[in-house]
Amino acid sequence: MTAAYRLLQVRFAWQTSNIIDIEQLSIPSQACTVILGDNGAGKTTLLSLLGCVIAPSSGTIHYQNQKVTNRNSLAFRRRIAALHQRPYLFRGTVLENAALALKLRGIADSVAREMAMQGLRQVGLSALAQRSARTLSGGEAQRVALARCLVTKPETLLLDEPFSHLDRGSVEIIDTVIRAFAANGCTLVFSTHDHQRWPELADHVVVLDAGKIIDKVQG
Amino acid sequence: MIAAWHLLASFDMDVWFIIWTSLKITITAIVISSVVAIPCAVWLSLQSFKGKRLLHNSLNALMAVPTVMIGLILYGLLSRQGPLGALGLLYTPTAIILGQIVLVMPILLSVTLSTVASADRQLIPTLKSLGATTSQQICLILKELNLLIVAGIVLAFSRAIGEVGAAMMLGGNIAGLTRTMTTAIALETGKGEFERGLALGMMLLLLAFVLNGLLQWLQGAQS
Repeated sequence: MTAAYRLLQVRFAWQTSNIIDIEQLSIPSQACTVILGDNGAGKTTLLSLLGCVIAPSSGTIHYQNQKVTNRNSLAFRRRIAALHQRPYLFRGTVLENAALALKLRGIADSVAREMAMQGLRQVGLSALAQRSARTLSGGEAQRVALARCLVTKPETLLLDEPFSHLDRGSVEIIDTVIRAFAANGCTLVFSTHDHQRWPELADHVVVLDAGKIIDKVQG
Repeated sequence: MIAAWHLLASFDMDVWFIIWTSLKITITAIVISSVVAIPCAVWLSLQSFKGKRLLHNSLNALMAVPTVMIGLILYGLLSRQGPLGALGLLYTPTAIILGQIVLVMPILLSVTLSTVASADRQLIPTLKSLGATTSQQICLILKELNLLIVAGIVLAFSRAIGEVGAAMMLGGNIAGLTRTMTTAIALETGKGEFERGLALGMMLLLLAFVLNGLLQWLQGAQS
């Protein structure tokens, strides 16, 4: 199995403390890796590093055998999608939000809207397409954010505790969509503090504590 | 007071020309400063570098520089013996515009930096992970925070329109050319033409109230 990510001596420091301190980590391609850790373990920061949103203070990250640098991070960010714990929706309609990532890639407005509509159908929100995104509930907002991620057809999906504070209905829909995404042979990296969540889907589990890897389990 | 009202209501040419000159100069300075400072501040917000906090603190300190000090420095640069003397800008509206640009630039930079820093913590990571280029990030941040950024512009406008020290030193208070509301108030009151000064003062006060109301509304609307 090839590695989607290879991290070597990656450190991310904030002020004087190391938030992330990883000697070596390999995340396999076309598999589901779960990052397990308590609150404050550094899961969100690790996912931000993997999403090329922040750069490490030291060390190297390779994505698909290419070293991530400031110069090429945008190209990688466009191949990776990230679903945050608390999604940010922009002012405008649900459809405009779902189409945003496509429009940022220069896709024509009509095509982007059509693709976004398909994405909203996947998460069961096509009926709310014209509604203001800021009026949605937490679960609906998370589903719109997921549709926004998936419409770009990413090769890797990073999920930062996507089920936190969601109602059961939203959890089920998101769970189904993510499983379908994983079944298509895409790379999935999933962070959670819930030890019960997704044990059957995880191919690998990385246990994080205080920014360090304390255990790795093959699924 | 009645005489002052009469001057405004009867559209006294001199009084209204001074008001027009003030607005023209300040609007020009604000437009130039905003176009430069606001995207620059958003770009700075997107960068992480050592000394960012120091830069922000320095900008805050520059906001407190007295306007006469700005006038003095620019006077030295623009006067005939100064390094920019050959441009012949001293005692022209352009000199006052330059003074106001120097005055409001730190305000716009600092307010925009604070506005972006206080925005939702997920805004910038979301933009980055959606694959936005730096210019797309700047445009979307401006779109998301537009009302607060306009509030910063209103604040800068109120500071510039009420400024007197630099306008007096750099413009020279020349009638029909560089006489602004604030410099005219100082002159007219000194001459004993109290009602003319009061008319201009009332207009300045009215502007301050309107701008303050607009500022409150914008801040309320954004939140």
